[in-house]
Amino acid sequence: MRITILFITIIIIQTTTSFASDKSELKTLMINYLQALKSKDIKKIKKVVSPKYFKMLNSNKVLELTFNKKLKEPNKKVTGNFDLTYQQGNTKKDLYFVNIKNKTTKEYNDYWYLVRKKKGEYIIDDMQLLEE
Amino acid sequence: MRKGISIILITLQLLSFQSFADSAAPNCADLLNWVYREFTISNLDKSYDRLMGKFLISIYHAQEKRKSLPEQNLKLEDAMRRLQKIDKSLIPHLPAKKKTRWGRFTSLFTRERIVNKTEFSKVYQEWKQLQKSSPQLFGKMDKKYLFDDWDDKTLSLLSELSKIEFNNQEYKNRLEQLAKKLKVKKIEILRNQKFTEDNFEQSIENVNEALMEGMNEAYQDILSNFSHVCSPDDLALHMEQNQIVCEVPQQGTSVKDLQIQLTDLANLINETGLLEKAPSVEPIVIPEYETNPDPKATYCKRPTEMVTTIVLHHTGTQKDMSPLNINNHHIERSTNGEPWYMISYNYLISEAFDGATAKTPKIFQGRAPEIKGAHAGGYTAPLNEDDLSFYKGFKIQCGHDENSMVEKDAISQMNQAGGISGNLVSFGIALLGNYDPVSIDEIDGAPVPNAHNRSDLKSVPSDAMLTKTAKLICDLKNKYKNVKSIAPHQYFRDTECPGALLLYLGEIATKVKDDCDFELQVLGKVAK
Repeated sequence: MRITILFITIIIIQTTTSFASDKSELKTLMINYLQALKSKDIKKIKKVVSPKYFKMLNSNKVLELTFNKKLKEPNKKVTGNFDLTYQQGNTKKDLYFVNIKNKTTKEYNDYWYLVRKKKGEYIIDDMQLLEE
Repeated sequence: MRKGISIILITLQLLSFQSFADSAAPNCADLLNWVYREFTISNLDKSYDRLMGKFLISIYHAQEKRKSLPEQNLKLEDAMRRLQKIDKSLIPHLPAKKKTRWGRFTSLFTRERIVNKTEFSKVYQEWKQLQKSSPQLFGKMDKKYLFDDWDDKTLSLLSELSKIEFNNQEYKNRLEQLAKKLKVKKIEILRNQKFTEDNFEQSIENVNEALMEGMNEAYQDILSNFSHVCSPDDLALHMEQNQIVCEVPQQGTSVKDLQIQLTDLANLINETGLLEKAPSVEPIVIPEYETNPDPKATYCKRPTEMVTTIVLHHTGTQKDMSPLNINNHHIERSTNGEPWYMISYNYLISEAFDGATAKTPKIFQGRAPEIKGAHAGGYTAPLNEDDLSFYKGFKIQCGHDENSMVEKDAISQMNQAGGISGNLVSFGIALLGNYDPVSIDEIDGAPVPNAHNRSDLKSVPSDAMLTKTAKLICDLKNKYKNVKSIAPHQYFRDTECPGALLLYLGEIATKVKDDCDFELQVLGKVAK
């Protein structure tokens, strides 16, 4: 009986830490992405997004628009002060749908980041409209 | 040359026959539509557009590169100058010729050589050669834009056509008579051919053979009528240096002059009578979608009589995204812990995937029409007495597969949900692409681009996409009689979808009115 409880406890701990780990890794990824965008650091951006996603950002001059955006808080540092929600793929467990918003904003955006996990690293690979 | 063109055209026909037979619904109307679109010289138009598009891309790359090259590339300068004379629409894309003082002076006494359309092939060859001899000019250009064998074929056909001039009255009369005879013959052939699902491919072959025979016979008749132009035995349509000449024909060569017959065929298909006989139906490609194997992923079958509304979406993706790819993402998603069964929309319209173009979009099926969509969740309008009366007696069946279906009463399910489910009573049509304007949000003090997954920054739908949407709605209305309205996705829930398409609902309704004389009700702004 004790052994069964121990196993169950281990499984629960493993599961929760695994989820927590995913969430914290995804949060770190998004913080890195926001920091890279804020610092206009192309090299840093390339580290957190796939070549496909970077091409998408670059081909439309979106990066240029992003870098030229007049910010309300230009001197504020990116600290991770935002909400993040995510969902793991139903069949592809290395795929995550990630969405972020300011804490003061009510709803998440219609567009979700598609994040892929490759060899333990999380990379932003696409952006999709995924609301029913 | 003429033999070559015939082979190309016949090859085109065979290829198109195959693709059509693979994808289209089996009925006569589809055949007529297809013949009009694919079997005529519209293939040449498409090829010509492709070729000119490549020219523009080549010019752009060569110009950009030229700025950074220290020495002038004389071949390029010459090729650009020639190109300028070929098509005036290219001029805005070409550099203005810089003239030196001496050049300005000498130009008063010299005239630039006139390059006419018959030299198009020469200019083309120059550019093709330039791409080989000066690859540095096109270094950044995607290789798919280099001129290829298909462009060679397009050019050979174009140059052949450019020689035909209708200034010879005899020749013109001969063509007119030929056209009349062929018209009668072809109407007869098409009327006698019955199309069913079983014999569809065979029927197409039969029609093709019969048309060819008919053309040949009619052509021979016409030749006989004009025996006074040349002797009956040696009369044949042959062009040489813009002149009709008589030549001893080889056996069966006349039938190879397909271009004229194909042009006539295009006219024939415009015949109102034929089109009335078989109302136009837009071909719909049905991809083989993977479904979610998870037993928790379910779908619902509904009576299509329940469907009253079209819900318009954009996919919010790049416009060349395939429906299969979207399905791959959708089966990975869940709502409130329930995994999605498959792609959420019922229909998708593309202008950039699987051969679709901005001028010739294609329709793809998503979920079958009898399956409730998963595209307009969230908002449900309250049921009123009319609704209760309309939906009374409708049953829906839900489950993961045929064996696990559970029947439910539509009204009781609606009451549980609090009103009319948008998904249950609509067909979801999504235009592939992103019609949201790019926005830069500010999150945690950082600028974050949003809705940027587009291949361009325009968010305006092409007229062809709107027309295609209207045609699809007409076909759906003809098939599912209770369809009466169109609503944007944001009518059902708080979303930006369908982006800028929201502004075009009225235009779609107008096109529906023009196309099938139906007043489509436009719903809007009811969302929470």
